[in-house]
Amino acid sequence: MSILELRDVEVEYLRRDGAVLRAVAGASLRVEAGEIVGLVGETGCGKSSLARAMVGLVATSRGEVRFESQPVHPLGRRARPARETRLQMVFQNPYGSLNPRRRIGDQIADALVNSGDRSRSPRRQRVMELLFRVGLSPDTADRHPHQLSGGQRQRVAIARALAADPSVIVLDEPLSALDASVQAQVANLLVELARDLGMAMVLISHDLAIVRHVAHRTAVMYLGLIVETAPTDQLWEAPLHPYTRALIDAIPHPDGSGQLPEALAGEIPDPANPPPGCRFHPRCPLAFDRCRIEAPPLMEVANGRDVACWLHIPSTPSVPIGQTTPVESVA
Amino acid sequence: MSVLSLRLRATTVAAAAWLQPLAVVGILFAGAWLIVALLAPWLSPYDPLDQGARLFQPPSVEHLFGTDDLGRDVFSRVLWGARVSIPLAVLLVSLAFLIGGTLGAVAGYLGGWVDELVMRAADLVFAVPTILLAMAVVAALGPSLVHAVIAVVLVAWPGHARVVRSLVRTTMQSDYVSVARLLGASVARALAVEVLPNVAGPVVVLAALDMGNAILLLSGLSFLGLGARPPAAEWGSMVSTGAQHFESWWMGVFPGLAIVSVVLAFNFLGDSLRDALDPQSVTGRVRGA
Amino acid sequence: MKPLLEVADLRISLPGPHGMVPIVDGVDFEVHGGQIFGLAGESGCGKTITALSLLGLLPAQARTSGRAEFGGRNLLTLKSAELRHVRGRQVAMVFQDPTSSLHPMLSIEHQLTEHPRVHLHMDQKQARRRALDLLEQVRIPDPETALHAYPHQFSGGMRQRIQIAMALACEPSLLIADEPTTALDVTVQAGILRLINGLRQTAGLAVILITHDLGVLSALADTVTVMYAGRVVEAGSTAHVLQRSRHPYTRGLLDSLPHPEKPDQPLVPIRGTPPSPAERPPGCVFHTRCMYAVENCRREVPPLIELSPGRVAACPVDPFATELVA
Repeated sequence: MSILELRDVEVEYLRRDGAVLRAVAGASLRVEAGEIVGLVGETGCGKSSLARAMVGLVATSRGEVRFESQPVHPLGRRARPARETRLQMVFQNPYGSLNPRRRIGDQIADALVNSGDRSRSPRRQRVMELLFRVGLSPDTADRHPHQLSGGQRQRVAIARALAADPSVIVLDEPLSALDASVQAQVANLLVELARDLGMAMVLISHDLAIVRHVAHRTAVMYLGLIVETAPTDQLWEAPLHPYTRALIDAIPHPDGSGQLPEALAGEIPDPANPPPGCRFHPRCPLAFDRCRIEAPPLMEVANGRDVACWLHIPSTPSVPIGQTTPVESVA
Repeated sequence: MSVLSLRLRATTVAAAAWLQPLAVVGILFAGAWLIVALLAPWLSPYDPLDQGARLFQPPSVEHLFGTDDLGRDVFSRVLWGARVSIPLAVLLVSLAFLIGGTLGAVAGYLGGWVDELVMRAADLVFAVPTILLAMAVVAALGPSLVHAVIAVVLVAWPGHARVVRSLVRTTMQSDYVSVARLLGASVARALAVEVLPNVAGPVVVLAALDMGNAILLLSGLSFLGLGARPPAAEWGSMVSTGAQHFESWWMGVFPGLAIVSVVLAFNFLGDSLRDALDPQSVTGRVRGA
Repeated sequence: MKPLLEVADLRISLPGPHGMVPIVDGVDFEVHGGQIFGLAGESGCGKTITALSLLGLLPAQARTSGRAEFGGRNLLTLKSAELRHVRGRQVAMVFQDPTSSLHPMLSIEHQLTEHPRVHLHMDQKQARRRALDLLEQVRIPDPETALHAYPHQFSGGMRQRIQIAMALACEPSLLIADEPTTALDVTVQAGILRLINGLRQTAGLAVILITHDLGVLSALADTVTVMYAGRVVEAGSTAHVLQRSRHPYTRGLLDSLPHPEKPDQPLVPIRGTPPSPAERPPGCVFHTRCMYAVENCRREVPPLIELSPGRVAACPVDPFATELVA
């Protein structure tokens, strides 16, 4: 059983003008224990909304999220059930995810306090362990956020999440706000943690190149839908979905060759008003008639490879990913 | 990190702000007046109600601020006036904060119709000129110091409500509150541990600044005859009497100066508190790009 | 051939809590007509301040020295009236965030015609025609309708194109682009990069491209100057600097980036973090993070060594050899 499972998740927002915005229009994803799954996409693809729905910060309007085989409850007034604190999140902005008025050590210890079973000195000990684990010096515990750099703050955010002994951490663009030379440090830390602690991660990023170095599997999102999932190296060597191909071709290589990256025609449509049929068809160089009329479901086309594209899905439909079958029972 | 905003920072923001001359002046004066308010009975040479001396005496060694139209020592009355104005102002601001702050926090936290209700009520109060509204309330209830206090609380609570509401709303939406919730904190704990420390600072600043406002309003109402009743030694009413006896300038000028100095002191104090607590003030960090 | 812009010994300081802090500490470079010059570095290295100084956009308290020769004049010493002639007319600038550099309440037509009317003394009709040409040049679909629209009606990529159109309005010979694509999606970025490349080819536009993204530089820039903590550490043709880097910082930066063309290469970060301007180490500014640092690196500021014409590096160590070269 996958440790984290999303089935046909939809997330809706009510826009100011009354229009319903489906930021996520039916996403299905599975994360196995100990694996790092990268979720990549550009502006408006809904990856941040999906991330929030994954951990329960935002309620799904349809579909379900299951963590360790139990449904994830959206946050309400009560404290989160202890079981669910093993599903944690690290946010993009290292300057907003730490309380400016509290000491670092206190913030890292929050998960320990909430679980209630540790008194002061074992708590302090654990905080020191966590700081060491993320590569920060022990005296960081007594500092305040404004005394730390962006990279250091992100490490604190990771330590804070680790304090809850998570089995899955969802990281929403954890590297984007960091300097290039610091990104590599944090990226390597994530790989190390997943390996040493057997922890699963969902790494959300717009930077496909760095996800390649970190994730075992990668999922690509476009306009609210997951369009392709594959083991990372296979995704790069042989992308199936034309959008994945376009994303890869658009990345400039720092190799001094003077080669210009390929541009993708058109613009991202308004998520509140998506194109009919396949959402990518207006920009797709390989679109044909069926693409304009019918939206392709996300289907498994090879071992571990899912794609939502009529070019690759056989005419006789098998069961699409995400739809529940009668075999699904009480877990 | 904006290219066009180049900010400079000292390593100790608080230290720099506290040492500003105005702040020091503010603290000294405010402190002095608080001491006076406490020790007035021992500091004043005469009983403030004692009408024994000669009338309309100008300032002299015996009567530092002269005597008034009923032969009372103005100096003693000014000192005792502090005992009226300052504790009342403290009470006023505390009540305004308690009522306004609670309403604002509830509005910010619950949102929806509760938020609408509180904010519209606040808007109603804001729509009317402060002194007029206060006057109307006192006139309706009958002139007395207690009623003046009620009136000023009524016009002061919306300011606190607005500030606390907006603080609660912005902090509750911040990522670190989300993190706290994800780590297993209940809403109550998140409010107490994450939100309150961020709210406390601006609230203290507002309270300090409001002290000045409260004293002005209270004195103003008494000046208009709607607050303290004779023969109480209250600065506003003393100024009012003094205005009727212009030649005996000492009767109105000294209580007036007392009001000015207290209000300014609390304003300086409030400003310096705000600069000390605001991470984005004059002192920031040099960030090139 | 004489360069279009020649910057020599540029030094810029800004006021700090304990006196003036040197942000840019002796920078030289040349930009030739019709070429794209890349200025690379991370945050705090001073590349943006360098660009702002060329157009007199620094705060009043900044202290600048050195030469920036353009059209026979030193840009750094021009008075504001003379600078106004240069800004927008001969040298234009586009910024990272197109949202804040376009006026939200003025129509596109208004914003595009403003400069031609003022600098080129065109009337509204002529300026309007020019605006339509510009919109076509930057590939905005349906330029007629676009003229009546307002910035918020466009996506980030479109707004960046409009900003470029505005910059080109008076046919400048030099365009300064400060992180023009950093805030954009990668597919949109590719379009802007192609646009800038096209402008270089068709309009002979010279560009100073400021960015931390070595991939962007690799795609566009003819020459690259790498800055670190206010100084130039390496410069040369893009191919040389990126393929045969001589300075440990450039080398370290390249090793810490993902190379899509070399997927199995691990990410090797540079230890430590870039220093803030007030906390720069003595001697070689990079020595505290450098794998090759020796005792001398702490004591002396390494001079820029000319390895071949136009190719310089401020480090006596050759990362490709094992012994010290100089």
